[in-house]
Amino acid sequence: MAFAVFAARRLASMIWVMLFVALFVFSLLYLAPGDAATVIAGEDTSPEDVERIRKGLGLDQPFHQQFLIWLGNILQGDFGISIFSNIPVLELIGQRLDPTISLTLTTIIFSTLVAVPFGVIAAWRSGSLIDRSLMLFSAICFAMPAFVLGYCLILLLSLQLDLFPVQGFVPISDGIGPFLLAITLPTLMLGTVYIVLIARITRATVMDVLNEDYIRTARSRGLSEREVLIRHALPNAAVPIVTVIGLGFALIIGGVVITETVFNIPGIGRLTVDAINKRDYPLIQGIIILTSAVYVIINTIIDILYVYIDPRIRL
Amino acid sequence: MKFRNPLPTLALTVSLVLSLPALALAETTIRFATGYDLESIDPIWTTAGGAFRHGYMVYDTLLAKDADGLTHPQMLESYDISDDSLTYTFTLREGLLWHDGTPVTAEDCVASIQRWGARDGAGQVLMEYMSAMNTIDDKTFEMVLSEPFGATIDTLAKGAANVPFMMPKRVAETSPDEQITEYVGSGPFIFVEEEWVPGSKIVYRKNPNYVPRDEPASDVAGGKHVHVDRVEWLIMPDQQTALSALMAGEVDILESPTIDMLPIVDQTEGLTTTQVNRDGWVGMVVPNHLHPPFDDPRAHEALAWLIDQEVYLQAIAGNPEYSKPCASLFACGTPMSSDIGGEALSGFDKERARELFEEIGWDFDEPIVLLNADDPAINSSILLTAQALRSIGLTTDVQSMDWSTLAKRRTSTDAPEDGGWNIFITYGSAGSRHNPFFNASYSAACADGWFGWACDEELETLRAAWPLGETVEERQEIARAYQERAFTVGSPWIPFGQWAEPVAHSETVTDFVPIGTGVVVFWNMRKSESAAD
Repeated sequence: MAFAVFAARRLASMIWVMLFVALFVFSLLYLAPGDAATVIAGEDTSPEDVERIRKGLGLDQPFHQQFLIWLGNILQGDFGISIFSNIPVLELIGQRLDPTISLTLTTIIFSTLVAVPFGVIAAWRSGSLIDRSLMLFSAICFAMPAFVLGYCLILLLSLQLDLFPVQGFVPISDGIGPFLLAITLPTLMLGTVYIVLIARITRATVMDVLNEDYIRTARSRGLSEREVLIRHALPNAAVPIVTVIGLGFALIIGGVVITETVFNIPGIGRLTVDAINKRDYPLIQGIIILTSAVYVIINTIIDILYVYIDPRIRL
Repeated sequence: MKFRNPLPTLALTVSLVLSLPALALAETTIRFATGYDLESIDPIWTTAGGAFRHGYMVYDTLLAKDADGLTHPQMLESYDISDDSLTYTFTLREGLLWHDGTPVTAEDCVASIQRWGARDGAGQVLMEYMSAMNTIDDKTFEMVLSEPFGATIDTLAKGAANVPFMMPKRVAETSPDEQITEYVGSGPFIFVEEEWVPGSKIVYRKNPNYVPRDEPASDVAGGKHVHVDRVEWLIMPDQQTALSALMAGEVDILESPTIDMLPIVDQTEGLTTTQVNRDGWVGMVVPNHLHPPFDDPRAHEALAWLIDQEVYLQAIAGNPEYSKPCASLFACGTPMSSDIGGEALSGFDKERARELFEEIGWDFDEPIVLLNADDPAINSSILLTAQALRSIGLTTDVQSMDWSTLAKRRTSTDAPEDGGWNIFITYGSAGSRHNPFFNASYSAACADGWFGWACDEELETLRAAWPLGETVEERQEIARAYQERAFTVGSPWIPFGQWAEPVAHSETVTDFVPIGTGVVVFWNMRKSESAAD
């Protein structure tokens, strides 16, 4: 019962958050300079034609009128039609979901699998060569712009060693082999900063836990170091680690824009940038609303996960 | 007698026979990396570059201009002009089919011209002269004018956006203010809608029913023979990635590599460059005629004295092989170009520029607002212009923004201090700047004119007179008079040279057709298995 109330409260707060996001996004775009009419009209056109196109698109309507029409349509599941491609926004987003979801999932899985053990070992062997290597690796990865790493990976692993394709995306439905070949370099690029982030948080949290009395007690009971780490230290350090994995989702959403550009992946990130450059308002609004919804849902899931991971957290 | 084991021979024969169908069916695909997205699928609804390029893939035109600027029938078998120059009769070629297999008819062409004429600037002028368009039979239609319009044929052969592309009647009946929703043309390639991923990939396949003309291809005129089965446009916003993909053989052609990439292309085995943008780009410094100091022609002259075209072109194109200074308002190397009135553009004189600003009585502490955009060529040119203005003691305020913002901002007629502007820079296809008539940027119609709002009645008169000139010589006279007047009273824009990047491509791709407007076309192009083939 308590869980149901908790979940209902979380869902209700989600609705308010989404409404606020909708208003904020719409206002921001309304205030932003530039509009689609100038892009449609092109370079060799007269201001009169630009104005005619603007009116045709309804961009000359007052703010509240445009917002209410848009909100009413959204509530009915109608996200509108892209001004440029003349294709429904949901269809356009649907075309781009597969690459972005694939890249996000491979990045999260890869980063977590690498970073958590790395962080635990670094904490366990604090001050050792492994620990120092981690710190050095972290400093380098944080300092290096992701796109530079991307180009280095392309130069070395694609052009020199011919191991992976330079660019593009292959859906998993075309075979797991080609899919993995195409997604490896983007995952490495996007995952590096994420690995460093998770590994550092894991290291710090596990080090704190390892200094707790109950760890000393566990060791005094004769438990092996492995058992101490896996059965006692890691579960107690899990909440901050899960938090950073969840928060890292936002990092990935931001990071895909660059990764998708460097590796020419037709995902949501590139769609967003293209839509903004062209001022394709229905598309920008649709993407932001849906991305925000996913972000809010993931955070809600993480909140709920806390309860299972650490029973001390009350609903 | 020795017995030979027949199995290896048999196996070889069987494998060869089995592979024959595969060899016969092997598709030739050209993968073209470009930074241009297909903004819209309707080349009449927008003048944007992507739609314009798409138009030449999918659609065809009644008439077309060749590399020498001469107009030829394209979809037409012939055309006839009555003695009084009021009636134009057009006859379509035999065998023309839309992509859906239905024949191209005169009715289709009439509807297409009407839609284009409602949208395109030059088309709108032609429509003002037109009293009727009548279908005579399936293959013939006539255009009746109210008074002679000498540029009728040239207007219908217009090669820059909006190009009068022909569409089926049911498609052409779409309002010109709405986008078409059916993509059926009669051009050399068919748009594969189901494989279109907007912003990422556009696919075309060869039109098996296309009937090319017998004449050799020349610019967008002549025989459009297609030697490949499929063309894939891969939208790659990142040039470095596109170059890497070219080097790895993942794409065949890279459009517009940056200057610093060209030496890499030259040094890479199997890659080469070809100049296909015949006329290139024209750089334009656009002063705002509404507000001081550029409401005074002397400020325009001063600005021209400060523009050192060699320096601008060095910053943009780097290699003189890919650029040329041009002191003409009309693309250099084309019939209307001349250097009349462009003395200030041919020199660089800071002292003269300073004197002119002093004569005007301009306050040197008053900032001149320059709009800068996120485009390498615009950015370089704006910074050079600001530097030149500062070098004579003027104050500048360079405001940076993305292109969409600039495109909106330049529509503002407010004073610079209230959100307006003094100068912006852009560049356009030299192929669409051959004369004062076809391009809106030559307008001097004050508030109804192009951004910058040049305002001069005589310029407008000359502009309107150009298409009425009956011979090339007459039109040259009018173009020269326009240019001389423009440089005297303040031109709508000041040119700073022409440049053109070559395309980088695999040596396996050959037979490019150079085009004046810079659009890459895929007819006549061949792709072999290896460069030696």
